[in-house]
Amino acid sequence: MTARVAVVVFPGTNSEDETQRALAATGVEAEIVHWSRGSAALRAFDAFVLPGGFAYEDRVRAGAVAAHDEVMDAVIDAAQAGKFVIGICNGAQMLLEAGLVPGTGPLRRPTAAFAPNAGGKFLCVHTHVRLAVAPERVPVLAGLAADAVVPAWISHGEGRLAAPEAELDLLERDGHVAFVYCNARGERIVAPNGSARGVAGLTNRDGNVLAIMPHPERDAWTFMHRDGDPDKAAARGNTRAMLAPSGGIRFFQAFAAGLTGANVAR
Amino acid sequence: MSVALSADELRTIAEHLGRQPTETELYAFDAQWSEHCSYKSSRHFLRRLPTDGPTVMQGPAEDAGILHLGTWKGDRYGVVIAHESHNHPSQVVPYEGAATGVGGIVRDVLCMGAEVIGLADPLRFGRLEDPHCRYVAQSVVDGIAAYGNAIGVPNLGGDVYVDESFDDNVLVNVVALGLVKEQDIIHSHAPKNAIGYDIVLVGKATDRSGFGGASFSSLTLDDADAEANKGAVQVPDPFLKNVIMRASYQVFAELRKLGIEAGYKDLGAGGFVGCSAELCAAGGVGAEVELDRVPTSQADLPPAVIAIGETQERLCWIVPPSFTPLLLAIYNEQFSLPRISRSAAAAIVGKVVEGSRYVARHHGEIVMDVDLNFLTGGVRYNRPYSIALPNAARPAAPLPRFPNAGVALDALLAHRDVASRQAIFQRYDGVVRGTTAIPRGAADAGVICPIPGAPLGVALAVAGNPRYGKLDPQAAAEHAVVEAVRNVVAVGARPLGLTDCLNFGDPTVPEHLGAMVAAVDGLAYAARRLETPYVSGNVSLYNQSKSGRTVAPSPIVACVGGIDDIARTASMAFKRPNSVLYFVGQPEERVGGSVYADLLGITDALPAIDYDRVAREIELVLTAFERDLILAAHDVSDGGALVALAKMAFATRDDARIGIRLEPSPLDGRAGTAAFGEACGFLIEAADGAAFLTLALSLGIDVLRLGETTAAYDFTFGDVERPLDALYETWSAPLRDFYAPAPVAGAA
Amino acid sequence: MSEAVERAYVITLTIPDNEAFTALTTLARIGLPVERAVRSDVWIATVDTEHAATLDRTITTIETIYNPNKHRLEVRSDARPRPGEVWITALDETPAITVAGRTVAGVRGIVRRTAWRLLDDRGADVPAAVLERATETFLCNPAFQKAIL
Repeated sequence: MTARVAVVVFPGTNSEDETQRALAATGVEAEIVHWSRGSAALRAFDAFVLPGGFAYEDRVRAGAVAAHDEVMDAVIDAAQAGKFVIGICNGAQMLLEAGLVPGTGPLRRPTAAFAPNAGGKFLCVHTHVRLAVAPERVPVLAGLAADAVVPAWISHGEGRLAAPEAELDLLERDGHVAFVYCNARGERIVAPNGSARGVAGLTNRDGNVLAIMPHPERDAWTFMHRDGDPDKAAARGNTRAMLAPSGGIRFFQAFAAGLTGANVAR
Repeated sequence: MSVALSADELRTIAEHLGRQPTETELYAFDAQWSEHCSYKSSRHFLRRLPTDGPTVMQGPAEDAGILHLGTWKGDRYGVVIAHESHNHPSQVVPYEGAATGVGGIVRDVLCMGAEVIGLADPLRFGRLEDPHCRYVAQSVVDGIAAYGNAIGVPNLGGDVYVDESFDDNVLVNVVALGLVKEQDIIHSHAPKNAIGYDIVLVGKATDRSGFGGASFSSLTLDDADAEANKGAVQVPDPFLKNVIMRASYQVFAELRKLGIEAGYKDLGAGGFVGCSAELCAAGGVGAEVELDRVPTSQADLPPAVIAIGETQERLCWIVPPSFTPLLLAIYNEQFSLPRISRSAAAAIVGKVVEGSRYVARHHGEIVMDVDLNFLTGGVRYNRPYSIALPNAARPAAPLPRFPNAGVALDALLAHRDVASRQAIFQRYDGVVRGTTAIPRGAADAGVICPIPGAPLGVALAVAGNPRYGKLDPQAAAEHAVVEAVRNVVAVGARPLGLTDCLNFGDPTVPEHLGAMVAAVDGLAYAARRLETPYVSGNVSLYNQSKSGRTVAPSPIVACVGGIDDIARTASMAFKRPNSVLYFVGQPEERVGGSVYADLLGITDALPAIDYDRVAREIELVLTAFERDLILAAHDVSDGGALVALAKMAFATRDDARIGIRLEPSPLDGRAGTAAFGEACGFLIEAADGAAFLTLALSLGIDVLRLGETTAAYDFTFGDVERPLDALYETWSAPLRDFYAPAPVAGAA
Repeated sequence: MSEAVERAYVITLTIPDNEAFTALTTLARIGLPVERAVRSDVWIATVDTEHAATLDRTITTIETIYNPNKHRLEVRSDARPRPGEVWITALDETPAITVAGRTVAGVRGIVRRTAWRLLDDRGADVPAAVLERATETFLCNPAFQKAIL
């Protein structure tokens, strides 16, 4: 049986459709679930993706209100039961505010934050991220190769990882830093948003929950790729190739592969 | 709160009613008869614009126009487009004014039954050296970003010009695109047999904000008024809009499922009464509404404020009563509007009735009883105007010159109308929705692929050059049309249609009205010659301060293009070294209105347009795209051909790093002014140089071979060899610190 | 070098504040006995004494900071929260020398903080312990913010 993934929509979420499409393209059953259906409706799902946007308009702090929402109770319970949870952009901010990632403190008592970008402004630029831990460390993305490079778009105003130095050391030492910013060749770059230690994504202790700031779903089909991308260059004049999933879709394929593996194991 | 109605207009109203108007009626007429709503000075000129053609699904009669994009899986898809200005509010309260401008245009597209798929914003700022102008510019950009990003609609295009004529009057135009299947279009009028239908108001609870906005938009500004006028500016709520959009998509789906015809319209200037009156007038029916049923968030609002106030984020439905419970459940329960914004809701506030009267009650008392056609018909003025003929005389030779083309290139790249806008457009989410194929800044037009799985693409571009407008409004309008069309052609898109926004001064001054009339003639002529119709538009007058400073005549045009196959489009970035570069166009020796002329103080007439040739060049470029002969294309505009070539190379800076070597030609900048003339054609990186040349000759178009792309990241022509990294720095530096304070005047 | 004084401009919405509305919902969910939440922007300036009056005036003309049609302004001559208030700011708070992109004569530094007041069902400030708990559990993320009580 295919895994059922809930794409959880809060008031103010804006990336649910493309996230759902990217998941569906990998063969999993992905359903958009609105907040008004409550946490009860979520408990039947195998895994959860919290998409990007501005849940509750980032009131008080990005992700803070959603982290306390009733709907999040179901996500927290699922994460603690070992189910897979991914947060992208605003979803990532929620996971930090909920204390699920990096998970080094009590629930809903964040130990790290995606704080306002260096420069204080929203930034929309293309980037790449590189898997910074061994694939086994993150079962939620079990299908990714070691050192995998994934293209993605930064589209956020609050994506700068901030935490006390000792916490940052601990995150690096214990393999919580799942993704770092890099160029197309995988070489590390200074994070465009000023993120501490160049961090683009974090995971929890068990590697079943992942928070990533840039959007792989916005570069998950060939036609979306930037100028100079070899897949896009090769697809010029070839409609089928141009409309095929590629690039950022690898992130979702890895998630789907992990889900399938987890289902088999269960 | 005073009204802007003239004594004559007040007399006409009293005579028609046979009594003095009530307070509510007075404000209703004030809004409906304002320049902003009634186009009383401009409407009869706008009839000159061509609005028909095979691509038109919906002309300019409603909140937005619709153009036929193509067919996919048996459905005919339309691109909805609307174009408006929010100039006055953006000058007074720039952040909120610009944000509510985006909010309003999005509602215009949404209410056609469409998904909102893209935005663009032509902006005209005052001198950024001036602290206040800079603050206005920064706040406008912040407001557009805050709104567009939150609702999740990608920003695909726009432009920024800087001119002292905008010091007291910034221009903020906004364009929005939507997508709708032809059979799913919802109209802005009461449907057939609507007697007894419910009038349902949806959105933010009404408050005092934005009372008097319509007539405010039609006043001139000065600083003292600006202070008092802050109350007339609306408070944006993109968060609520995000939810209303999604809830409305759900309503559209339910209407389709049940086969129900409904009316839907956005509340703009004129508030609830203006909107519901226009819905009913357009459907040939009357209305009875209960103002006390309008959800409010402030106690004891007077009926006139409930009726006319312009609280943001509201729309109005006309639906059969059998559908109303489901409609209310979608907004109030599934999308829980009341829980996420205090007192926001969908609520039944009236009924459609027979006849043509609009009756509004407040706690049982009739506060308004007017004939709808009289209220919404407005007034018309035939104001006198005079058109100044541009000075066609050529300047005395010899023209001043730069010491050499390299020096000229540096000066051009750093010019305020050429320098990189990246610091601005990086603030806008250009890729949300996951449909963006060519993001803003990567080509002359932004391109999206909005139907998942379909190869159909939509291109959007804008144009309108204030340097041209000051010299010759009619020619400026023609050039705006030609450039907007070329911009979408440069990404391989067929031009489907246009919108226009006319930004001018006081129409009671014959010279200002004359400039607008001349521009309308220019818009009409160019569109006819290029067979591209207008489906939407807007007029913004009184863009001047009491000190008399008036904006440069600014006809601003947007063009929508259709792409049949997303695999056959291209950005402006060079794709590989050693490909042949061609110029498609006529080298333009005349530099009137150009950046080059601005730098050297040359006064000259604007270039003439050879429409037959322009049309054939467009045919060549589109045919070459179909045959996969184009790797990159860019139209020549501000700064001329050398600048355009440099920008094609800049776009490769972070990856392929491809340079340029030019062969001797009129466009390499060594001889004459042809390298600096603007508005003259396309630059093409050919996939197969010989095949492109053969195609051009077969179509009877002579093209100019300019040189080749190179593996070295340099720009080489004649004696000039410049590292492109250095040129990039020159181009990037001026606006990189857009958010820094203005430099202190007089500082060393 | 002339003397400098501190100024705090406390600016509160007079139209419905949706952010405070949402915060209240969350505080209720956390289980705190709060009936009303009041949120203010606090702009804290260090300014040369002789320019303080000019700054007081300038602040009221910058629409993104203060719009008389939707805000109430309280000018304080010290930069400390009142009893019942908590101020939230970034740990790496750095004073700017410009106000809304403008340099204002005599301003040595200006920072922006958020102030919260929580009220009970009688309209009185909630007990200090409740305010502290609200701060710890919701209003402040200590990974990048600090709370000043």
